[in-house]
Order: sequence, then structure tokens, then C-alpha cells
Amino acid sequence: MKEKQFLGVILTLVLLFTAQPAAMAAANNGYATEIEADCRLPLIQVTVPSSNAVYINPFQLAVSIGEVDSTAQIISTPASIANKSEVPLAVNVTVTGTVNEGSDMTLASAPTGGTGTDKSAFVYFEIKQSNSSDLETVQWEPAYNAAKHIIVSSTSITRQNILTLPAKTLDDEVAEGGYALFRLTGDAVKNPASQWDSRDGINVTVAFTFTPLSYC
Amino acid sequence: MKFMNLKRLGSVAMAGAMALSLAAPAFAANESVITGSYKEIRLAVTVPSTGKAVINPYGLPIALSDNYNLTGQGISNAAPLTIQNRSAVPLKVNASITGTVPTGSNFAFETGNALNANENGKKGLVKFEMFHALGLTETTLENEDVLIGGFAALDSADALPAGGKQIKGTAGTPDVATNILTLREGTADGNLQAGGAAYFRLTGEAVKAPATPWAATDTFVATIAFTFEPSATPFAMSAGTLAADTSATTSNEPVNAITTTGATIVLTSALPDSLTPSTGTNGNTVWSVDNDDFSITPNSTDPLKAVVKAKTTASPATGDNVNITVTITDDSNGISYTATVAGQAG
Repeated sequence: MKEKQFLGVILTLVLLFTAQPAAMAAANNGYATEIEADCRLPLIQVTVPSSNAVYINPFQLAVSIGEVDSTAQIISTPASIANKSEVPLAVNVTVTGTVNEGSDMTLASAPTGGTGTDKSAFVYFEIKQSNSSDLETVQWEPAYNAAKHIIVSSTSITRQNILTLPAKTLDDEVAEGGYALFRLTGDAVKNPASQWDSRDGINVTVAFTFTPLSYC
Repeated sequence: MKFMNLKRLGSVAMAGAMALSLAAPAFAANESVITGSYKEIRLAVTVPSTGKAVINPYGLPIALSDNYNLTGQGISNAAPLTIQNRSAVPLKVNASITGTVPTGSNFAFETGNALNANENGKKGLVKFEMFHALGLTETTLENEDVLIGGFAALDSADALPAGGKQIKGTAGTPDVATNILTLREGTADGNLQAGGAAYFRLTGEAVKAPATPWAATDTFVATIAFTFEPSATPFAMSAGTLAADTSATTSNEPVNAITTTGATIVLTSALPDSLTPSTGTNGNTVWSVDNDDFSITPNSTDPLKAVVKAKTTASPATGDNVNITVTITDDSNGISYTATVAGQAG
């Protein structure tokens, strides 16, 4: 009897020793994954015309702009920007005007109404969102609107987020509303004391900047 | 007299000799030799050594394949990542995550609970999440619709640990999650079976318009150290939540006061849509109790209901405990879904 009890004790002790190593081995195993995160930046692709022409037409002569005839006193050739970026873009515009050297005209800060004696022109920048670059599809504002237009002056004027252009389509095309047509327009004193001549003119710089927006 | 003594001595000596001669064979016949040896549990786990993630402040689409994209995620994997268990035992999974920012990067880990709406630094709130990948088996691992489609469909609402584990990137202090989930054991042939794999990913959000715009040099690294422990309990998924229906017409006792009248136990199901519980001889739903003094009777028409009763008024005694369990088995992949509620005799 004593021998059997003794053997039973040995059996128990041995089993305890065999049970422990499995748990210890499990705690010491290890596997690791190193994940590198890179910054995904959108590809910004916007088509912006590099130059354009603007005419001062104080006598409102008929001028052909593309297939459109205009008698406006300030006429610019049609221009557009198009967004082919991966993301929508907020469009910011800075407009700066300078009078040609040798000209005695000035840039007015308010509409002239075509009257007065000072040789001045009131010129403002207008931009409209569009589904295409076709000039004939745009509906310009009938008159100057301070909320929508930017006056051309020698002091730069900036308008942030003047409009938002949607991202390109999955087919890599400009999306609906992804175009914006812009122009310069305004008026000029018809018969100033110092008559208009070929030295009179202006240069206008329109600087676009684009802020990427979230894709969704 | 003298002769008598000699005989007794001789008999004693002989008895002693005989006793001695018997002793040796007696030890040999009753001896048990026990040899103890360590039985190694071989782990057969597949863990990727590297992965790619994306800081995506503009929420751009991330192409996982020609057919699957991720959209709207400020922080995301660039491709599915999985761990796979082919070991002979189910494994509990733990993770210790270290977030670091390489030299030259201006990225910073958000350490609060959320990005401040006015935050203008290059910050990201990054989380680590895991998900059961029940569709992944040895035969479906190469199937794009299963592997990538399954990853693209992940929802943080289903993440483990619940809510994810935020990576704060505090030097010297890894972010640790323990017992995140259990991976099912491999088949007898050592192959991956349903329940044996899990997806893991980084997710979160990044400040959209920091004062200094994001640059390609703004990166971070997350090192995830997995450890695995053999699970003592068989692999099972949660079937949902069990509770007593005290508004039932009959057998409407609360679960902590069960008598011979009985309590109706109802499962609020968290089963996958593809799994239909059924009763009857070939049904996939089994109700059980772990105390023989209680009986359990499944509802004949509703597999998600059963009535548990004390067998007699004498036994069980008031306060005796019982665990009530329902197990629903998905015959398509052998996965068991269980739910348990603790009860008491009233």
C-alpha cells in the first residue's frame, strides 16, 4: 500500500513539469509586420490659358470675337480653365491691372456710364462655371455685380474660393461643371477730353491658384 | 534443545533468504516507469513581414485592384493584410503596436480621442483594427472577390477590439491589445479553414488642410508585433445575446430565479444573414445547460427560444448556478456560433 501511494505521488509531480513548458513557449513566440504609410497627394491638372487679348472699344464698334460679334466697350477673347485633377478644386483668383507706358488713361473704380471727360475705363473680371469651353453656352451677367466680379486696378485684388470645379470623371474626362469661362468686360468714357489713341491700353494679370478639396 | 535452536535459526535464515529472493522480483513486477517529455505545440501561422498604408487627407480613391477601390478613408491600407492559422489548435491573438515617425517627416500621431476641428498641424488619428475573415480558406485565398472584395467591404463597426486600438506613437510605450480574437485551428491536413484567418488594417483620419500643405515626405511607420496563445476552448463565434423574456405568457421567470415554472430564454441574434437556425432532428441549433438539476426544452417552432426549468422543487437548491448555452452550427463551413447566459435557481 505504501509503495502504491509513493508511486502515485511521483506521477503527479512529473505531469506538472510537462504541462508548464507549452504555455511558456506560446508566450515567447512572435511575428511582426512593419507597415510603412506614405502620403497620397492628389495630382493637380488644370488647363489655364497663358495669354489673352483685351480691347478697349469706346465707340462700341462691332468686333468679332470668334463666331460672336460684340459692340461692348471692353472686349476680351474667350478663355477657359478646365479641371482634370483627381480632386475637386477651389479656385482662387488675383487680378492686377497696369496701364500701358505712355498712355494717359486711368482705370476707374466704378462704372463710367460712358460719360465724363477723364480718359478712363472701368474694367472688371468675370468668371462663370460651365459644362464646356464653348463660349456660346455661357450666360454672362448683364451688369457689374460687386459680389461676383473683380475690379481691375493697379492694386491686386484677390477672391478666394470664387468657385469649385469638380474632379475629373473615372473616364479621365473633364466632369460636368469642370470648366470655367472668364472674361474682362466693363465700360469706358466715350469722348474724353484727351482722345483715345493707339498708346492707350492695359495689361491685366489674372493669377489662378487652386486648393484641393476632399474627394468625397 | 540445541538441535531445535539450530533448526529454528536455519528456518529463520531460510525465510530471510526466501524473503530476500522474493523482494527483488516483487519490486520489478510492481514498478511503473514514467517518462516525462515536453510535447511541443507547433505553430503554423502566416504573418506578412511588411505592408503599405496610405495617409490620404483628401480621401482619394485607393485602388486595391481593377475592380475594387477604397474611398473616403483618411488613413488606410494600400492592400489587404491577413494573418492565417494552420496550427493544430485555435490561437488567441494579441498585438503590440509601435508607431514611429521617420526623420524628415512632419507627421504626428494624434494622442487624444479625436482630431480637433481647428487642428492645422499634420496630424493623423490612426487606429489598428482586426476582423474575422470567415470567407478565407485554402481554396479561396487566391480569389479576388473573396480576398480583396472582403477587405473592401470591412466596416469599422465590426472591428476588433471594438472601436479599434489607437496608435499614439508614444516613445517607449507600445499600444497593446490582448485577446483580440481567436483564429480557428487548421484542418487535419494542416490547411487553412473558415475562421482560421483574420484581416488587419490601419484606419483613421488625417487633417485635411494643415497650415503647411502635406508633402510626400510626410510618412509614418507602424510595427505590429503579434503573439499567439493556444486557446483552451474550441473555436466559436458569437451567436448574439441570450436573455430571459419575462413578458412571455408562460415560463416567464427571470433568469436569476428559475423554478419548476421556468424561464423563457431568447437569443437576440448576431448570426450572419446566410445562416438560418433550425430545430428538429437535422437542425443546426442545440440548447444546453451545464447543471443536471435543470432541464432545457427548445421551442418547437422558434429555434432561438427555449425554456429552462428546475427539474424538481427540491433540486436545484435556491441560488444554484446554471449556464444556459445555445450553439448554432454553420454546416457550410463547420463554424459554431454560441451564446451563453448565467442563470440561478430561485
